[in-house]
Amino acid sequence: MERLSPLVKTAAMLAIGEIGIIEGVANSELSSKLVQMGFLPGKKIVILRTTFTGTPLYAQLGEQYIALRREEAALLIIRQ
Amino acid sequence: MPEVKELLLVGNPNAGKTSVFNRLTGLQQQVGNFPGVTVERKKGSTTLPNGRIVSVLDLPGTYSLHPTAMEEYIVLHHLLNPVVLAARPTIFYIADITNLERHLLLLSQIICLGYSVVVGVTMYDTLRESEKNYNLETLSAQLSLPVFAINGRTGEGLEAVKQYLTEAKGAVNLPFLGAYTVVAPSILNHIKERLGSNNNYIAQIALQHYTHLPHLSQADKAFLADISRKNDFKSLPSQVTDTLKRFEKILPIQAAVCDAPPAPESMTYKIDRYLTHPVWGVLLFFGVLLGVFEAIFSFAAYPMDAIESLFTHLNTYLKAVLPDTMLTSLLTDGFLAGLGGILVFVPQIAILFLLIGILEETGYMARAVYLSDSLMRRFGLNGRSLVSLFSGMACAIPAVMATRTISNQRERLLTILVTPLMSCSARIPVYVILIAILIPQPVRIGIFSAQSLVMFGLYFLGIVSALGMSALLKPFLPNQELSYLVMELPTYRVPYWRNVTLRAGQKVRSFVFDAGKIILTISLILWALGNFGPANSMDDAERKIRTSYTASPDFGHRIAEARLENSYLGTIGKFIEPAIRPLGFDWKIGIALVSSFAAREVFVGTMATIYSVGADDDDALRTRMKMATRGNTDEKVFTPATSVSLLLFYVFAMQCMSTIAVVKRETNSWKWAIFQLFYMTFLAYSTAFLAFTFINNCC
Repeated sequence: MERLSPLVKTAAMLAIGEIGIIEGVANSELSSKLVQMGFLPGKKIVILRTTFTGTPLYAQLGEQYIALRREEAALLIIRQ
Repeated sequence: MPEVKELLLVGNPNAGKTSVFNRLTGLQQQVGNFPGVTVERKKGSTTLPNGRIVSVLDLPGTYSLHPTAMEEYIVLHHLLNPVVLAARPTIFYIADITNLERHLLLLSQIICLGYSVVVGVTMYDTLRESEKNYNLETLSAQLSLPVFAINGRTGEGLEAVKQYLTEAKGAVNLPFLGAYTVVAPSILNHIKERLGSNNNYIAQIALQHYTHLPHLSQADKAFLADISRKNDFKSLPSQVTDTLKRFEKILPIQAAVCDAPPAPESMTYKIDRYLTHPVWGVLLFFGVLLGVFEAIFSFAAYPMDAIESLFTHLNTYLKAVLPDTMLTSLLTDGFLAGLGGILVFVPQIAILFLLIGILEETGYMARAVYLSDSLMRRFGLNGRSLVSLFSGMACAIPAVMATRTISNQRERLLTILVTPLMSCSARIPVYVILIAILIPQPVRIGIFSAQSLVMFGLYFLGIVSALGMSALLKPFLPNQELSYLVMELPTYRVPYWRNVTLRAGQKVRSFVFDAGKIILTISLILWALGNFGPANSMDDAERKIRTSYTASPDFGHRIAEARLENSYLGTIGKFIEPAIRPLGFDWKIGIALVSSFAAREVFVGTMATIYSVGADDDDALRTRMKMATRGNTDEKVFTPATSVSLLLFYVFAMQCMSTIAVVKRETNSWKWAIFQLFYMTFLAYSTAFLAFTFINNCC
């Protein structure tokens, strides 16, 4: 897996309700899966809520709802 | 294109494929497995308006031809298989209009494989009037494919599709991405030549996924590995590029077809504020699990009692009218009892699958997985495993069958392997009698009675050992799939009853006919072991009783006892005595252990026979068991050490042939069923041994 610089903001760092725009998906075994599911550059992502352990995340991606773990959200590079 | 011979249903998960399949095929469905795996393969047939019958195969839902999970691999294997390609099936692609963009991805890939495709668009009728601005004609023109608005629940639109299929001309699909290829054409030409294909996309996918394609020969794989190495080809980035390129083309199509995509279902948003709430959502999920347990524990008891009493009456009646021969016994105590033992599980299986059907169809199950993921993943399980584990507290048989809904193969196998450790209702009669012997007088500890605390402890032990074993076994089981959770949370919908009831019916049928065969065989073997003995030993023993105890009131019980003791079952009980003596068990318990392999509750009935009391007389049995001594000594058999040891043995041991039969069916091999039998017996033996030794030496 590609090591991301700590300066890069990912969807895992989004606060609840904060809006992020996806810039790309980090290189990993899951990148193909994430792109297929619609995590495309330019898409809007909002974390609506999480469980009391802090993972998985309940996200709104464009017009759909998706649950994903924090590790997977950390592969989604975003800008705000 | 020649006439349509076979229809393949393809689409994303939650696209509405199941409803369409059920609509098209009706009740004529064959449910099996895809070769080599335990992914469900549903096949049926449908009749076209011109009377021609076309077979329909339902492929698992998948998002793309670049797979990460077993079900997705199955779709890839099937669509790339040269045999399938040569048979030229027509693909009926099901796409959800409310999420058209993502549903077009897989379609674009299918087009590139060269299949003839008909597109069915679902959920069109769920759109609000203001949102019905999708232009399906534009979609059809953009894709150069026939597109129909369909509804699997009402059947709307399906006749038009069938009509189209009768007249289908040979539409040749253009490659979706035009001349563009992700992999250099020179490389693709090499591969095409080798594979004897003229399709760029087939060559590209072969290069990207050759390690996972079972139809490729070792030589082909070596060839592709070589090409991959020489050109420094990286499969994963190329899959991402392929997908992104496709979306680049899909987004304008989506924009042309619809000016504004529908807003996410606001009802689903509102409901999920409660159902997926970190606290209320979890409590509610717990309530759902308790409800499922209650349904198969309590509600199912009524039809189960009815089935049992029907078979008991039939048994008694047949014994009364038929001559008292071995053949009658085979028919009644062997065959009929075995059949009753199979059918008695039907209510639980039906009820559990109706409930699971509702949970899946409404979309709630995805929320349950979301809520429990962080806890369950530690044990290598997921939220659907919890439904099985809770059901396992009523009965492991429907619970093991319910694991079909778990798509990750390792999570599913782990759930199957540990679910029978949950204390099921068949253990209760065993627990009750042994606890009564262990704690004869009511003792209170605080506000609780000691007896119920022990009972609670046994259940708790079941739960802890199931989760513990799962965590323990996890690293040793093969995991061919990536471990991740990126899961669509579908819009809440009212369940479609046809899907729910068809599925429950299929489950019942597969249990009765597949697992039933094994159960019947084992119960006939157990019957034979209990009714035959070495040489004339049983008759000799009976004659002895007849001459010495003529006037005794429990004459009949004594004969039954003598016959059982001298049967093969009795012989086995005595034979295994040295092995079970370290646990504090004598040969009488040995016989009960062997016979209760049919079902745990049989323990009580066998003990009643061995101790010469009536099967319904619990008090007498308890007294006899308490008085029982070892051989000719006055040492009691059921000391606290033995009782605890035997209780622990029943907590852990796989004393249930029906579960073994179901595990064999669900894992599609004897390997895991036998492994499970061994590990559970080992666990039972060692804990019973440790407890017996400890109590004897330290208390």
